[in-house]
Amino acid sequence: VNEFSWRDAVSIGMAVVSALLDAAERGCSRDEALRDAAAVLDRRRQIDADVDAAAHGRKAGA
Amino acid sequence: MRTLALLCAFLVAACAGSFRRQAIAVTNTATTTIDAGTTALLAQYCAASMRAIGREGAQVADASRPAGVRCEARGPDATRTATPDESAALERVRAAWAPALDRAQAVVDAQRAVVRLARAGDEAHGGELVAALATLATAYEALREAARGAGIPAPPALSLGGVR
Repeated sequence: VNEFSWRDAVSIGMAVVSALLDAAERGCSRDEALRDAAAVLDRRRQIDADVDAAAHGRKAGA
Repeated sequence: MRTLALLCAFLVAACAGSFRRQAIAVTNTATTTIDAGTTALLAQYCAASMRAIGREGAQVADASRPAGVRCEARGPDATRTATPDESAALERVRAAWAPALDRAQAVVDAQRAVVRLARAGDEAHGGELVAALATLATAYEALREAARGAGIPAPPALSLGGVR
Protein backbone atom coordinates (compact mmCIF):
# COMPACT_ATOMS: atom_id res chain seq x y z
CA VAL A 1 0.00 0.00 0.00
CA ASN A 2 1.42 3.38 -1.01
CA GLU A 3 1.28 5.80 1.86
CA PHE A 4 0.54 9.42 1.21
CA SER A 5 3.77 11.11 2.23
CA TRP A 6 4.49 14.73 3.05
CA ARG A 7 6.45 14.89 -0.25
CA ASP A 8 3.26 14.08 -2.16
CA ALA A 9 1.44 16.79 -0.24
CA VAL A 10 4.14 19.33 -1.08
CA SER A 11 4.09 18.32 -4.76
CA ILE A 12 0.34 18.63 -4.98
CA GLY A 13 0.43 21.92 -3.06
CA MET A 14 3.05 23.37 -5.40
CA ALA A 15 1.09 22.27 -8.46
CA VAL A 16 -2.04 23.95 -7.07
CA VAL A 17 -0.17 27.16 -6.23
CA SER A 18 1.44 27.19 -9.69
CA ALA A 19 -1.95 26.72 -11.37
CA LEU A 20 -3.43 29.51 -9.26
CA LEU A 21 -0.56 31.87 -10.14
CA ASP A 22 -0.95 31.07 -13.85
CA ALA A 23 -4.68 31.72 -13.66
CA ALA A 24 -4.09 34.99 -11.80
CA GLU A 25 -1.57 36.14 -14.41
CA ARG A 26 -3.93 35.30 -17.25
CA GLY A 27 -6.66 37.20 -15.43
CA CYS A 28 -4.41 40.26 -14.96
CA SER A 29 -3.47 40.22 -18.63
CA ARG A 30 -7.11 40.26 -19.58
CA ASP A 31 -7.87 43.08 -17.14
CA GLU A 32 -5.11 45.31 -18.45
CA ALA A 33 -5.99 45.36 -22.13
CA LEU A 34 -3.74 46.90 -24.72
CA ARG A 35 -4.99 50.27 -25.87
CA ASP A 36 -4.77 51.79 -29.35
CA ALA A 37 -3.81 55.45 -29.57
CA ALA A 38 -6.52 57.75 -30.91
CA ALA A 39 -6.20 58.56 -34.61
CA VAL A 40 -4.97 62.06 -35.47
CA LEU A 41 -6.09 62.27 -39.09
CA ASP A 42 -9.84 62.13 -38.39
CA ARG A 43 -9.64 64.75 -35.64
CA ARG A 44 -7.49 67.00 -37.84
CA ARG A 45 -9.99 66.80 -40.70
CA GLN A 46 -12.78 67.59 -38.27
CA ILE A 47 -10.94 70.68 -37.01
CA ASP A 48 -10.32 71.83 -40.60
CA ALA A 49 -14.02 71.39 -41.40
CA ASP A 50 -15.03 73.32 -38.27
CA VAL A 51 -12.61 76.16 -39.07
CA ASP A 52 -13.76 76.26 -42.72
CA ALA A 53 -17.35 76.51 -41.50
CA ALA A 54 -16.39 79.38 -39.18
CA ALA A 55 -14.50 81.11 -42.01
CA HIS A 56 -17.73 81.06 -44.02
CA GLY A 57 -19.76 82.40 -41.13
CA ARG A 58 -21.37 79.09 -40.27
CA LYS A 59 -21.45 77.28 -36.98
CA ALA A 60 -19.42 74.09 -36.71
CA GLY A 61 -21.43 71.08 -37.81
CA ALA A 62 -24.22 73.24 -39.27
CA MET B 1 19.56 58.73 -26.71
CA ARG B 2 15.95 58.72 -25.60
CA THR B 3 15.29 55.84 -27.99
CA LEU B 4 18.07 53.87 -26.32
CA ALA B 5 16.67 54.66 -22.87
CA LEU B 6 13.24 53.49 -23.99
CA LEU B 7 14.63 50.21 -25.30
CA CYS B 8 16.75 49.60 -22.20
CA ALA B 9 13.78 50.26 -19.95
CA PHE B 10 11.68 47.87 -21.97
CA LEU B 11 14.31 45.12 -21.98
CA VAL B 12 14.90 45.44 -18.23
CA ALA B 13 11.18 45.36 -17.62
CA ALA B 14 10.74 42.39 -19.92
CA CYS B 15 13.50 40.43 -18.20
CA ALA B 16 12.18 41.28 -14.75
CA GLY B 17 8.82 39.61 -15.16
CA SER B 18 6.23 38.26 -17.55
CA PHE B 19 7.10 39.46 -21.03
CA ARG B 20 3.50 39.94 -22.02
CA ARG B 21 2.53 41.76 -18.84
CA GLN B 22 5.50 44.10 -19.14
CA ALA B 23 4.83 44.68 -22.84
CA ILE B 24 1.28 45.72 -21.99
CA ALA B 25 2.45 48.03 -19.19
CA VAL B 26 5.12 49.71 -21.32
CA THR B 27 2.84 50.05 -24.34
CA ASN B 28 -0.08 51.45 -22.36
CA THR B 29 2.14 53.95 -20.59
CA ALA B 30 3.51 55.12 -23.93
CA THR B 31 -0.06 55.28 -25.29
CA THR B 32 -1.12 57.56 -22.44
CA THR B 33 1.69 59.99 -23.30
CA ILE B 34 0.94 59.79 -27.02
CA ASP B 35 -2.79 60.44 -26.55
CA ALA B 36 -2.12 63.37 -24.23
CA GLY B 37 0.45 64.78 -26.68
CA THR B 38 -1.71 64.47 -29.79
CA THR B 39 -4.80 65.80 -28.00
CA ALA B 40 -2.88 68.87 -26.80
CA LEU B 41 -1.40 69.32 -30.28
CA LEU B 42 -4.84 69.24 -31.93
CA ALA B 43 -6.29 71.65 -29.35
CA GLN B 44 -3.49 74.09 -30.19
CA TYR B 45 -4.10 73.53 -33.90
CA CYS B 46 -7.77 74.39 -33.43
CA ALA B 47 -6.90 77.59 -31.56
CA ALA B 48 -4.20 78.60 -34.08
CA SER B 49 -6.53 78.01 -37.05
CA MET B 50 -9.32 80.06 -35.49
CA ARG B 51 -6.87 82.80 -34.54
CA ALA B 52 -5.75 82.98 -38.21
CA ILE B 53 -9.31 83.87 -39.24
CA GLY B 54 -9.59 86.45 -36.49
CA ARG B 55 -11.53 84.66 -33.84
CA GLU B 56 -11.08 82.90 -30.60
CA GLY B 57 -11.34 79.14 -30.88
CA ALA B 58 -11.32 76.23 -28.51
CA GLN B 59 -11.99 72.52 -28.57
CA VAL B 60 -15.14 71.62 -26.68
CA ALA B 61 -16.62 68.23 -25.85
CA ASP B 62 -19.23 67.00 -28.32
CA ALA B 63 -20.53 63.50 -27.66
CA SER B 64 -22.39 63.44 -30.99
CA ARG B 65 -19.12 63.24 -32.91
CA PRO B 66 -16.89 60.18 -33.31
CA ALA B 67 -13.84 62.12 -32.07
CA GLY B 68 -15.87 63.47 -29.14
CA VAL B 69 -14.80 67.10 -29.65
CA ARG B 70 -15.63 70.14 -31.76
CA CYS B 71 -13.42 73.12 -32.69
CA GLU B 72 -15.65 76.03 -31.79
CA ALA B 73 -15.38 79.72 -32.71
CA ARG B 74 -16.27 82.10 -29.90
CA GLY B 75 -16.71 85.80 -29.42
CA PRO B 76 -18.55 88.55 -31.34
CA ASP B 77 -16.73 87.76 -34.60
CA ALA B 78 -17.71 84.10 -34.55
CA THR B 79 -20.30 84.33 -37.32
CA ARG B 80 -18.73 86.71 -39.84
CA THR B 81 -17.07 85.55 -43.06
CA ALA B 82 -13.26 85.55 -43.08
CA THR B 83 -11.50 88.24 -45.13
CA PRO B 84 -9.12 87.23 -47.96
CA ASP B 85 -6.16 88.12 -45.74
CA GLU B 86 -7.49 85.89 -42.98
CA SER B 87 -8.09 83.04 -45.43
CA ALA B 88 -4.48 83.39 -46.60
CA ALA B 89 -3.31 83.39 -42.99
CA LEU B 90 -5.29 80.19 -42.40
CA GLU B 91 -3.54 78.50 -45.31
CA ARG B 92 -0.18 79.51 -43.86
CA VAL B 93 -1.12 78.07 -40.47
CA ARG B 94 -2.19 74.81 -42.08
CA ALA B 95 1.04 74.58 -44.07
CA ALA B 96 3.12 75.30 -40.95
CA TRP B 97 1.31 72.68 -38.88
CA ALA B 98 1.11 69.98 -41.56
CA PRO B 99 4.53 68.35 -40.87
CA ALA B 100 3.85 68.03 -37.14
CA LEU B 101 0.33 66.70 -37.70
CA ASP B 102 1.56 64.20 -40.31
CA ARG B 103 4.17 62.98 -37.85
CA ALA B 104 1.59 62.76 -35.09
CA GLN B 105 -0.41 60.35 -37.26
CA ALA B 106 2.82 58.42 -37.98
CA VAL B 107 3.30 58.06 -34.22
CA VAL B 108 -0.21 56.65 -33.87
CA ASP B 109 0.46 54.21 -36.72
CA ALA B 110 3.71 53.12 -35.04
CA GLN B 111 1.94 52.72 -31.69
CA ARG B 112 -0.70 50.52 -33.30
CA ALA B 113 2.01 48.33 -34.83
CA VAL B 114 3.44 47.87 -31.32
CA VAL B 115 0.00 46.95 -30.01
CA ARG B 116 -0.52 44.38 -32.76
CA LEU B 117 2.76 42.67 -31.85
CA ALA B 118 2.13 42.91 -28.12
CA ARG B 119 -1.27 41.29 -28.65
CA ALA B 120 0.50 38.36 -30.29
CA GLY B 121 2.11 38.36 -26.88
CA ASP B 122 4.90 35.81 -26.64
CA GLU B 123 8.67 35.78 -26.45
CA ALA B 124 8.89 34.64 -30.09
CA HIS B 125 7.77 38.14 -31.09
CA GLY B 126 10.14 39.83 -28.63
CA GLY B 127 12.64 40.97 -31.25
CA GLU B 128 9.94 42.39 -33.50
CA LEU B 129 8.35 44.12 -30.54
CA VAL B 130 11.59 45.80 -29.51
CA ALA B 131 12.12 46.92 -33.14
CA ALA B 132 8.57 48.29 -33.29
CA LEU B 133 9.14 50.16 -30.02
CA ALA B 134 12.31 51.67 -31.50
CA THR B 135 10.29 52.81 -34.53
CA LEU B 136 7.68 54.30 -32.20
CA ALA B 137 10.27 56.16 -30.14
CA THR B 138 11.92 57.50 -33.32
CA ALA B 139 8.55 58.58 -34.76
CA TYR B 140 7.70 60.34 -31.51
CA GLU B 141 11.02 62.21 -31.47
CA ALA B 142 10.40 63.21 -35.13
CA LEU B 143 7.05 64.64 -34.04
CA ARG B 144 8.65 66.66 -31.25
CA GLU B 145 11.34 67.89 -33.64
CA ALA B 146 8.76 68.90 -36.27
CA ALA B 147 6.75 70.77 -33.64
CA ARG B 148 9.80 72.64 -32.39
CA GLY B 149 10.81 73.42 -36.01
CA ALA B 150 7.40 74.98 -36.68
CA GLY B 151 7.44 76.97 -33.45
CA ILE B 152 4.69 74.79 -32.00
CA PRO B 153 4.90 73.77 -28.32
CA ALA B 154 6.34 70.24 -28.49
CA PRO B 155 4.43 67.34 -26.90
CA PRO B 156 5.96 65.96 -23.69
CA ALA B 157 8.77 63.41 -23.91
CA LEU B 158 7.68 59.80 -24.19
CA SER B 159 7.04 58.61 -20.63
CA LEU B 160 7.56 55.12 -19.29
CA GLY B 161 6.75 56.05 -15.72
CA GLY B 162 4.38 53.13 -15.34
CA VAL B 163 6.99 50.45 -15.99
CA ARG B 164 6.99 47.93 -13.16
